Amino acid sequence: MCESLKIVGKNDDLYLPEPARIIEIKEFTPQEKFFRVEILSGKSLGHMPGQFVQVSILGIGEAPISVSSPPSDDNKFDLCVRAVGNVTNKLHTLKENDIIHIRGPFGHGFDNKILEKMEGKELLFIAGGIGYVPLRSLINKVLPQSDKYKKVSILYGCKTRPERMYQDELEQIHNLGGNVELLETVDNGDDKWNGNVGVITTLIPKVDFDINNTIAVICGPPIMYKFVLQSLLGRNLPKESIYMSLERRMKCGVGKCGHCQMEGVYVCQEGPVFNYADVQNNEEVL
Amino acid sequence: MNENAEVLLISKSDLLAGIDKVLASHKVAALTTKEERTLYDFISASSEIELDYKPTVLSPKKFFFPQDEVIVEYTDDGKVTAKIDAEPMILFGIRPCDINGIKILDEAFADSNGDPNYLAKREKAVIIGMDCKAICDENAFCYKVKANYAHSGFDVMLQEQGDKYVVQAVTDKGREFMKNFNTTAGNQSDVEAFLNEKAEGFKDKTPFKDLDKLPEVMAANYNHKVWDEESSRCLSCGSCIMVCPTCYCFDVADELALSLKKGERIRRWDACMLSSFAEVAGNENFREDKKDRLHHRISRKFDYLMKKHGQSVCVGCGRCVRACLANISPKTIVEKITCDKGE
Amino acid sequence: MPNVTPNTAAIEPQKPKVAFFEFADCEGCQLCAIDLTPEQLLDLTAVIDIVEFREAFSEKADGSDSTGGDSHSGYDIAIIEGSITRDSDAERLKKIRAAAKIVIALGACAHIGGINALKNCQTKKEYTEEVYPTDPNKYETTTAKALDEIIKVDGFIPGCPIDTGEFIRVVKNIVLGKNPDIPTYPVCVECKKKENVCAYEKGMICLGPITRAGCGARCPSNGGYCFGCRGLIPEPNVNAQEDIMQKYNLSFEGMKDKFKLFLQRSKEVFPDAE
Repeated sequence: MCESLKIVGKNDDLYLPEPARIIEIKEFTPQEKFFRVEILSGKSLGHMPGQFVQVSILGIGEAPISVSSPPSDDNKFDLCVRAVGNVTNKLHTLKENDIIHIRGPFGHGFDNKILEKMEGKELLFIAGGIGYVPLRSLINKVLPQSDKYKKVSILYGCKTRPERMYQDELEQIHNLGGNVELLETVDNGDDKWNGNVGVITTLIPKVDFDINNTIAVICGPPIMYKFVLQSLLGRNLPKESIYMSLERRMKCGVGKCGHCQMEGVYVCQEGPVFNYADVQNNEEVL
Repeated sequence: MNENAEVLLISKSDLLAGIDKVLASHKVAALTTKEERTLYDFISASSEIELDYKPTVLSPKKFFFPQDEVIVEYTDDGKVTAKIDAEPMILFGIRPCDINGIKILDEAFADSNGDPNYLAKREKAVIIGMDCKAICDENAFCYKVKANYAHSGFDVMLQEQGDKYVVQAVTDKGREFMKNFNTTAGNQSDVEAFLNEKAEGFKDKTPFKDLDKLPEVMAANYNHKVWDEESSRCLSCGSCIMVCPTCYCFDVADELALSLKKGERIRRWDACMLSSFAEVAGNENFREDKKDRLHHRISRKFDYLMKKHGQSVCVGCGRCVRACLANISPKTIVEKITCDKGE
Repeated sequence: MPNVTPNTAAIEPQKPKVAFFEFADCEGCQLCAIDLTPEQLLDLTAVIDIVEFREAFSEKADGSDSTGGDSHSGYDIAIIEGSITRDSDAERLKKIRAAAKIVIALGACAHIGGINALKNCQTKKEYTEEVYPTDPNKYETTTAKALDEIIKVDGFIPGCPIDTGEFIRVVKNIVLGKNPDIPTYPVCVECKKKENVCAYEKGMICLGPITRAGCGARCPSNGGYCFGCRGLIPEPNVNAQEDIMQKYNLSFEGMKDKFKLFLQRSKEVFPDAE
């Protein structure tokens, strides 16, 4: 007792963003753009699927954005950004070669333990709208080695057909065949859409899965989780087999600022990827 | 407190003379009065010090975690730098409730992601505690959470005994600091005498029923009617958070100079009681209802963070009670939940 | 093409053309807007192009001479001071709206009707006869309104008068494509940060708990109380004010009287106002 204060873990660069260059931009929809980014220092981001970075535009601010590419050894990674706030609106006006700044990666993603747990299982990805983005990192890690899994089912729902992101990739996934299936739906159909029309939960009954050997992964708008969970639990999928990636407002990314807290849980530290069994009693999750 | 700490005695006049000596080379913050306000602030002479405690609006937290703090600076030539300001300072006369508050902030900011801005200031500070013998006013409830005693988190503790103080320097920093003062040797019985007096002053002041079990009790009462009753009067004005010694949530904003050639990233105190706190881009608000916000604030103190810190994160200083126009008090809420009639 | 200043935010500021207009007001907020140091003024004119500002110079946005009325072309942003107290003003305002991409309400009169709306607490007959006893119908006048009761307003700079720093921040944020960044929290936050003794403790009725911050709690910090000149915060708990009055043994009627000065157009306070 009464020892001098021991300063542990002090990190002088905790809030210091580092420069990165935009090397490719694609417009998915009027609201959503794809950015490929390289870290100027040449180091690899070193992220796990499901983690996020804090993207800075100096003078405008900082915003948490999911990394949408799978882990890689080089210094490049992907972001897909919906223009909804100061930073993301500004990001949409940037051009290739422009410099942004990043901090991270942050958060608890699909770590090795979860990835190991998934091996040999049936994987069921359920993504709503921009919720496809955080899952894409994992999906694109899984697909090249789909033989490690019994089956990979991807359910993807959007409000309308033009809001579908990564359309080229979706075509490729549709054509993969084998143990990979992609089911899509739109809330409101149009004359160019001949697929399923309805909310994402209308796709769930179309998928066969072995409840004792399946891992489900969900990401979408806040309203979606409740209904998808109802549907999965209604088919007796164990809670421990369900993972969710959640969105909150992370200001600091390092468990300090308090904005992302759900009850006692800092989403930026313990999440954004959660096992449903761990947070089922947390009233602020859904 | 450390039973092996050397006990010294100092007269009031020697104490103040020592502070004046220290002021020649150090910034000293102490309880002082400016215009009509009693507050902790930097002083230029020991005569400005209020030795008798009067409640302050803000706690000494502000010296380590300023209201607005630049954390990053950048210029248009591409230079981006972390801004970490810290200079040595003496905090004089910090009461046990606030020492407990600082201890909690120390733990919160010195986790695996150690906050450089807080810690740089904190490690350069010397904290001179001033023990209390009784509660400072009717709004304080330090004894309810056992924060009327400080066991660590300070370098020196002073205990008033008539016209002198019992001094215990418990850290190297504290012992070094006391070399500036003209002291005489005391012994453990001087400390005992103070503690007896203090025990008398807090006689009949009992902690919350099942204090240690509050996290479980709070969790079990998530839907207690107290949340509706108390929050209906809440103005969502954020005052309770501003004045809290253990609230440390913040907002981060960029400010570019009008020339657009340089800018700063600033963190500012934020408050989970304000309606916009849990809003995300696109207008989703994860804590829209003021009842949920009150629940969150109080649960951070007695449940969520209490589990992490192993002690009540509310230190019972009473500042939020004094600041609340609507008479919302953590003490009342906990007593209603635990069916504790209070005293 | 890469941005010229990649490290301060890839900001490619367009230099917007800004015109100032005024309605029923004292012109004080326009004065505050240009109450700048020479350096600030140079910086400001480097990021915006002021093309019409009757209080400061005679040029007009559309190139006409100063004797004419408002320009209806040649500007991107209209910054408008004053409340609308005549039907003819409402028509004038709509024309400015049609010509501007962005309309900013400057000061309490434009933002919330301001002190002009105090007259709405009386009937037209009462106030015209009181002010012009010999010729009550001499001037056109009607209910005083805020700009957003007539037209769509894109942003506002609150206060009576406005805060110059806040004016600069809002202009800067618009140029940068950011939200104006006006606080949504009440004056109490700033008062506590300043460690002021609460006005209620001093026996005053203060509107700080329900009034939008951003002024730095200017009035309570100088021995006064908050008049509410910056308008209400979103979702003010006006009912709780009644409990506060009881706690401090003050009259709720006295508080309602305080509401009239700046909050006459606020539905939360005066739901039945015309």
